[in-house]
Amino acid sequence: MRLKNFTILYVEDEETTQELISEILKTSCKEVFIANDGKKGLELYKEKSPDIVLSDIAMPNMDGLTMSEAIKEIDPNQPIALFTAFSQSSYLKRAAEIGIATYILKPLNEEQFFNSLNFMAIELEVTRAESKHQG
Amino acid sequence: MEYNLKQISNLIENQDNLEDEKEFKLASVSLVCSIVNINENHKKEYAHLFKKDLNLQEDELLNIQKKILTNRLNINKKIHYIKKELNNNIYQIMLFLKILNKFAIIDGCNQESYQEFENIRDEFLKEYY
Repeated sequence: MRLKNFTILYVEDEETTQELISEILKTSCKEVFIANDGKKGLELYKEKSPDIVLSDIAMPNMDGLTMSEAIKEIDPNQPIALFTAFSQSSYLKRAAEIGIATYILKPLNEEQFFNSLNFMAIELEVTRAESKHQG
Repeated sequence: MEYNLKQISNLIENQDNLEDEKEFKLASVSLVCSIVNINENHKKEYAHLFKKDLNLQEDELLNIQKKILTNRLNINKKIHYIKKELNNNIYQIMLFLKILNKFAIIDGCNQESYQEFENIRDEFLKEYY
């Protein structure tokens, strides 16, 4: 599977959801780094430089959008996907402004979830191949 | 990476493979129109994006919208046509999908638009998943 080549940072404060999704990710990805809030997520991002970031929006200490904004300042091309129920329209407008283009619909549909992850993985492969070709 | 149709067209034109630019534009705009609801409130905003990203003038857009309304839209047929025109090249397909993605989230993203984008995206990429 394509995702086996990629590392993922997964940020989620809700314990049951975190357990469920991290188990799914662990069987499909090269390595999964887990954080409980945006602050820890940002620290882990700086330490591990994951290929893909997956995050919830509403979290204590630092929310997913503030964390994503900080990550985009470090690397504007960093692929980030946000979990959303699409009911938080003001959040989503801000997310689009930050440059987040991938969303994972809640409640989770596993097939759509993997399709979205694979889409980001293909994008990364294409971008890296292009950079290699140019450089 | 700059995402606009003109750049994709240039890439394709260099390979002498884009047979009919108008047909390509019609197919592209058909997909965009299935994702977004271009109502009066957002008409200007979308017209700007259509011009910038799809190299499409307002009168061209109106003509295409008329065609879409009078013809039954077969989205999968349009997708396969575009893939063929892009030579099934994953780099060009991803550039194209980035444009559609941008349209899907322009207004802060709503569930219907985003899910339609996902359906189109997955049809484009199903053999790559």
